Amino acid sequence: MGDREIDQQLVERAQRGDQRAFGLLVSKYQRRLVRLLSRLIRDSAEVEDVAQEAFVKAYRALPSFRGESAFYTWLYRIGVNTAKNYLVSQGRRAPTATGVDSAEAETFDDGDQLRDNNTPERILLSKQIGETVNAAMEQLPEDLRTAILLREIEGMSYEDIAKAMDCPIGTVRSRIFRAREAVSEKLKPLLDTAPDRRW
Amino acid sequence: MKAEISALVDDELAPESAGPVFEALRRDPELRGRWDCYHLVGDVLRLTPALSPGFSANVMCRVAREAPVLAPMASIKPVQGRLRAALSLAAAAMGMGVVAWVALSTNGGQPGRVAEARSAPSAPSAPSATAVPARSAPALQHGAIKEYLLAHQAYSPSNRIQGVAPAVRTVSEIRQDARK
Repeated sequence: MGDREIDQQLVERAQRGDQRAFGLLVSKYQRRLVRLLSRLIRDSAEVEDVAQEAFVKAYRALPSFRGESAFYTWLYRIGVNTAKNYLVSQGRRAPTATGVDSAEAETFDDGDQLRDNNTPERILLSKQIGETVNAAMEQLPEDLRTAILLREIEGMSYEDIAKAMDCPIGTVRSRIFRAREAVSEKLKPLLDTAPDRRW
Repeated sequence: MKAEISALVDDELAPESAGPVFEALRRDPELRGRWDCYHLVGDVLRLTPALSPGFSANVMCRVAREAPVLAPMASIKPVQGRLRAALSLAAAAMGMGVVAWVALSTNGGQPGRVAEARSAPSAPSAPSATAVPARSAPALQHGAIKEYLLAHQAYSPSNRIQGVAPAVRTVSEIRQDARK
């Protein structure tokens, strides 16, 4: 089952009135959308406002989404248009030298720029979450850590990871799940204080 | 269920297993928290920066204030495709049927009407005081009807294809006149 199929199923549920299905899509793409919009708008608070607006616009436009393109491509297009409209309304122009389109949305490298843009609150949260994840990863058994890194960093499929680690696919699936659970347990105290649990 | 959610995050869940997982995610906020967390772990490992606390909650608060979306077009898309093909075929068949019916009623019906018209003069619809005697009727009718038809051919039922049938009939009458 591909990424596009999962998104399409969630979109169809949202189109039938299931707002929580749309919430799952928000959770999945929020950070990537913000990362994309950070190339167009320098102020991080403005970036988040525009990203929120883009998600709401996407929700309103869901009836017109036919699945002809991937959901994230469609979402990113809405995000870029929202950002450009925002800049025009502020009397500013979208940067052309670093123009973004949905095709390159997944591939750009924006680390330095984002580090310049972060607010103290976001820097602190990013730092806490990053440190917690890294500490939890250090404590993982080698096979679990390798499995989740091959998946998350290298983007390998379970089948390829199974070949690389010379184990059954079911074992890969189990290792990645256990690794995520271990890291999530460490993150839980940090995330329970955030209001994101409400929806 | 958490193991299935982990596989779903990686797009490694069988399609038939996804439905129940989505249902569980819809019902259980704890599982939705796991979905969030698994995505967060992946984003952190890929060095994607964190968002302000409450970002997705704010988005969902705004979404909750929106009018509900009820547009199941995408879910019935495959059915629509098949239905559209069947309707196209049905429309084509009905179109051909209409054409055939019009053609038959125009051309096929003509001999019957002609036959009726030929037999009609000998069978007057109603007796009248001015009716001519039966014996002299054929001789009188022959010339009178011919002139009548010539004068009124433009209004005759055979005139559906404008310009063709009147010309054929006129030529025929001219030949009969010439022989005489």
